[in-house]
Amino acid sequence: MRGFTCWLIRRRFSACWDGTLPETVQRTLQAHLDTCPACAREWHLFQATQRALQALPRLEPPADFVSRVAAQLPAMGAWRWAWWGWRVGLAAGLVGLLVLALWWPRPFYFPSETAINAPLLPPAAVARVEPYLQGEARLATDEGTRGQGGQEQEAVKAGDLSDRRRRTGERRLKGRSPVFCLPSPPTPTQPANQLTKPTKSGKPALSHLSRWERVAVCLAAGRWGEAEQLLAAVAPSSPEARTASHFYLKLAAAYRQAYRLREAMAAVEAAQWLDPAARPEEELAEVLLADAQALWAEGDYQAAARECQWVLANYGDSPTHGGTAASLLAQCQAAAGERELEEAALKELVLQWPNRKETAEALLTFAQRAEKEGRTDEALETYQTLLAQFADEQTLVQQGLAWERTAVLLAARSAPAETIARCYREAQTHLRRAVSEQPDSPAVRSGLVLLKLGQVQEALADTRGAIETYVRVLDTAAEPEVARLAEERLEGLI
Amino acid sequence: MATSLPLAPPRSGVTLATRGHTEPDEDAALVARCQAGDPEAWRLLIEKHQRRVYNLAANFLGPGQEVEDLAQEIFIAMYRSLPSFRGEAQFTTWLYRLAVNVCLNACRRQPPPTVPLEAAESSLTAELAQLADPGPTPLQAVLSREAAALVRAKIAELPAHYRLAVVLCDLEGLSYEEIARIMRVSLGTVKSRVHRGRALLKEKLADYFEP
Repeated sequence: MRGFTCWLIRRRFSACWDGTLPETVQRTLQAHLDTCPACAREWHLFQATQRALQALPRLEPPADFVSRVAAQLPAMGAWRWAWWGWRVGLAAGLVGLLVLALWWPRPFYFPSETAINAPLLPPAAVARVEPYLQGEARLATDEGTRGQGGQEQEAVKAGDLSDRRRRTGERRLKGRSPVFCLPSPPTPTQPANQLTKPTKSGKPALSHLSRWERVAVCLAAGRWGEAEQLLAAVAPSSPEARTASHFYLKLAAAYRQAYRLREAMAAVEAAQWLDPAARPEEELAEVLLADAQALWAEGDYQAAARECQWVLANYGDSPTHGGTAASLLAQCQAAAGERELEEAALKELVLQWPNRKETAEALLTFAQRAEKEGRTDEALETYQTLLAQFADEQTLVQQGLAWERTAVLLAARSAPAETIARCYREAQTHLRRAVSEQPDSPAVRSGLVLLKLGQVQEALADTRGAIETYVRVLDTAAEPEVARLAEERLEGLI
Repeated sequence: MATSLPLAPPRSGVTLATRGHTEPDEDAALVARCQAGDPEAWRLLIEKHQRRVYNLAANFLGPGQEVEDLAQEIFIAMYRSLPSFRGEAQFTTWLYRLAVNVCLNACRRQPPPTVPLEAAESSLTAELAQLADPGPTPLQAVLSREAAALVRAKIAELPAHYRLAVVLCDLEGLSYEEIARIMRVSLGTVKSRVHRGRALLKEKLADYFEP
């Protein structure tokens, strides 16, 4: 984390010079400048540069400048015509282009996104495909597999990840999709229908349909491998690339519903290979992040990090998924012992999502671990970074905890008593506000914030206040371990 | 080494109007007369805004360049485009926008060469170093012609968009909101460009401030 705080502090010079920094951030900045000679030098240079700009004299144009400009201007009466002339020409040109575009027959035509979405196929093709889809649906219902698909979706909603993985794995072994199940072989009671007549393999023949009709049928019927084969024949430069890309995204959505995430990611990449503007659905990011959290909990940090990186690459600009992915990625890298990668992920977080709560949480986690591992310099820097970056109401808990740890670390370094007391007072203010303004946040409900507040009050020699706070922890804390710690502190005080 | 914060007054609330850059009513009356074809009004309008346009061109191009030509080009563009001015924005904002476009076009046509300043550099170090360690009234200082030429040359070395942001913000004294309207970009983009422009300029001038 070395240099990270300095990097962040220097990014604030401009706002500091403009006087637009919040007072708390300005105090943190000042505190950093007092202790960091490199940043103090940079600030000194920055100020000198700004003063040089302020001291630049205004220039006077030559005395005859106006008359020379006037001589350059065209005749005064002509300017209206000059202005109207090119505008009329431009308007006539645009009208001509519009007429040409409307008149031009098919070669320029390309189905728009709406046209591709609905109806997916031309009406005549839909009429030909419809019996297939009805046949597939009925057969699927006859086997009762749709019911299983419904259960699967319920499990996805409920977030039972391990169970979902296990069951999906079982299905995958059978080569069956949980949602769109193609029965094989078809039941003998199936009515004779030339279109849905099964082949020797038990699947209806699609040979007389066009490529996109076949893809649509395969997608709807869960024959995704066949759909992929059909789509694989399309090259990026071909005029069909965009349509194929669209079908790939549909395929990715189907894989995502079946919780076959690797296949879903591959389908999205294929879609983007064909059409770089292809944008995957938001639901895929949600499922991937949930999966990454499950992997992280299971201890498979590398796999979780890979999924986070993929989400970052594809949804990096998303205000919700991007920040969550970067935050989780930092945790994964930390857990895997990849400190440099973790720092890179943290930098990404601070740069891309400077005001997100996840960023504050990631910084706090990093600092707490650094402190636990004895890297106190790094921990102190990171706490300062957090306090320099955040001054909003959403991160009161993180700010309060960072102030408290800063005070503890400064006390260990025999810093001036007044500085330590100031840090404790800031911690007390932030933690009190967090308790009163965010009573439903997990940290407050667990009792951890109140416990910290009690410790801060003890440090400020407010014994009576600390006792009251610990009693409140015993009354309200949801976490038994926190209540036990409060009880211990209370006994010590009494 | 002075490290106290902050040394500059807050920028909030500083706008074209509050800094006395313009008198909207007077501009509107002149523009109306110009649009009616009054030659005297053209002359007055150019006279009123010549310093602003000339300084913008000079700070954008740097010393030794065709400042006068660029300033004239801006006024000719104003002459051609004035019929499209509907008074929806302040005239000064509109003029700045026009000037910015002309400057960027000029930059695309021919990027300004770096000005050789080796001869003057030795005498500048002391003057600029004084700014780095100011006396009691640093803001009243005015750079000598050579030092100003050096600073302008360094500004001219910045990439065009950063240069314009720094010139409009720090030399023309416009607010971020005003610059965003002029450059037709978001407020965040303006802040980022000003920040990066200032940081780059600091790097370029650092050698002259070193004790």
